[in-house]
Amino acid sequence: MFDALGSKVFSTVVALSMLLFSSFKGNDPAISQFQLSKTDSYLYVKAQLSTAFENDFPSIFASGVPVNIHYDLDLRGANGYHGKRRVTNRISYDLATGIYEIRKEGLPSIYSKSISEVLHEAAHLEVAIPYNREWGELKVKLSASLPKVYFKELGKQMDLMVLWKYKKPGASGSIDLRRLD
Amino acid sequence: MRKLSLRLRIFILFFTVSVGGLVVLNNVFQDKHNNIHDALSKMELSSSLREIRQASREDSLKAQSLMRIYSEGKAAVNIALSESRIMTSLVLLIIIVLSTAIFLIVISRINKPLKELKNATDQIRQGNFSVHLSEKGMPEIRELKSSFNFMSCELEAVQTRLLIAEKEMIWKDLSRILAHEIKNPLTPIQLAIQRLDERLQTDPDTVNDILKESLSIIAQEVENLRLLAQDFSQYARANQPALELLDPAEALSEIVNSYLSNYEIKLDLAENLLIRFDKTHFYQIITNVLQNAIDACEENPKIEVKLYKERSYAVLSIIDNGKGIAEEDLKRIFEPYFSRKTKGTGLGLALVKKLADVNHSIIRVKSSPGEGSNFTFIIEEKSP
Repeated sequence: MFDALGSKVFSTVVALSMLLFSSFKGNDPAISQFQLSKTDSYLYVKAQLSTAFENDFPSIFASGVPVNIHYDLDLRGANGYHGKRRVTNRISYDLATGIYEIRKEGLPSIYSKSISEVLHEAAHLEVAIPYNREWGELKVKLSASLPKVYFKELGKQMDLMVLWKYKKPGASGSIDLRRLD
Repeated sequence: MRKLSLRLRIFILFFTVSVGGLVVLNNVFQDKHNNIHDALSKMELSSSLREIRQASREDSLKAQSLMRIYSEGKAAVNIALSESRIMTSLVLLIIIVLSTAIFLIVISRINKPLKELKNATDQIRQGNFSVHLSEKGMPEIRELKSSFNFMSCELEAVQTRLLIAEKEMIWKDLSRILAHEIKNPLTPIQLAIQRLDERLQTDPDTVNDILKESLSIIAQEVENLRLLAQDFSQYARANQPALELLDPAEALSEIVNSYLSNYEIKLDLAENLLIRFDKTHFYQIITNVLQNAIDACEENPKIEVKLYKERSYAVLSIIDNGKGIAEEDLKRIFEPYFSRKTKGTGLGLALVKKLADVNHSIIRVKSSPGEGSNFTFIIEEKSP
């Protein structure tokens, strides 16, 4: 809890300092189109990250270093906590062929030469989670984050959250799992 | 427009100079960062290197290695630049917040002891030299407070010494005056007794011839001693007045009447004036000043007593045509035991001033040597 609070305070201070003293654009990621739906067996979570990768990321993706984009889901029902799920979209680039590979969990890899398609797919989340009806009214919190990447040729590790100004975009919603559609 | 306080002016100056300078410096850094970023975005090698990958396997591997190094380097520089820009502005914000907070703390730590010092100097001004400040705070402030405490201790010591010296001087003067005043009547009493004693020894039958005269001298001198004791007693008791509404014209007429048979005193008294004054004190004041006026006129005294209204005050003047008071003596005439007369204790005018003060009236004296004096009292008029 304190980590989350500290992170929010830090990102707010960074945003304030940027607003006051810098012309740096960076990226201002936000989660849009957050949707929760269900079938008899699965809960479907759909979301889109907007304004998250437009600046600086094309050169990061094109460096050939695989980049993971983490989507963390926090599931809390009326009768208890049902754990976290982490879904990762992975972007890698073949410097020899100039082709990007987008790997999403549970889905076949997508190959593309178009950076705009890569950015769109990287920002898109679609995941199915099995559930129990007993969970009842389920609150789902989604947050996105970027890991540190290691540049092998340079022998250097760097935090990609810098490009999001240390801001973790998030969204939440709820769905009644007992209700029959 | 209200003048800005010193603290606010210092704060504005501090903010303009230091924070303004930092903001300008930050803008320069941000501008340079932007230039590097723009230049970096235009550097593109990968597509050109990719085209030569078919030359040979060895060349192709070399080219791929170069591409990896270049691409990773470019990405790392991009991230580092972004991080640098964020950190620069973040550090600037932290510096501004911290420096402002430190500035305000320091100012308040200076301001608080300065207020303490101001209050303490106010107390010193009011005569309280025992004020002592706790020597806490910054070293400079501690030093200042320590100097202040030393000064107040010195002042207190000087005040104590002065009080002791003053008391000693008063006792010396008093002893001198008392000795002189008591000795004066004692000498004729002693002489009268000696004379009676001698006559009783030498010619007891004729003692009656000088008895009446000797007894008269003794009685007169004893009366003088009683008056002396009365003067001292009155001066010591002149404290709280019993204020009452008084018609000054009526009181003045009554007092002056007892002198009219012997002296020429002109009365010019406005009627229907009322003052709030202790009646006994009023009589003592007028009698003293009137007697002084008479004593000041060696021959043919012409005295004028005036009473008139001026604004909301009753103004009372006693004017004589006597020898007047020298300019250097005018400043001292109300000091106890100061007198240029050959008789008296020197307490008369001191008592007048003291009684005038306790009855909230103002006393003014005008005098020219050889022309006479004018003693004026200004007393607030009261409606019944």
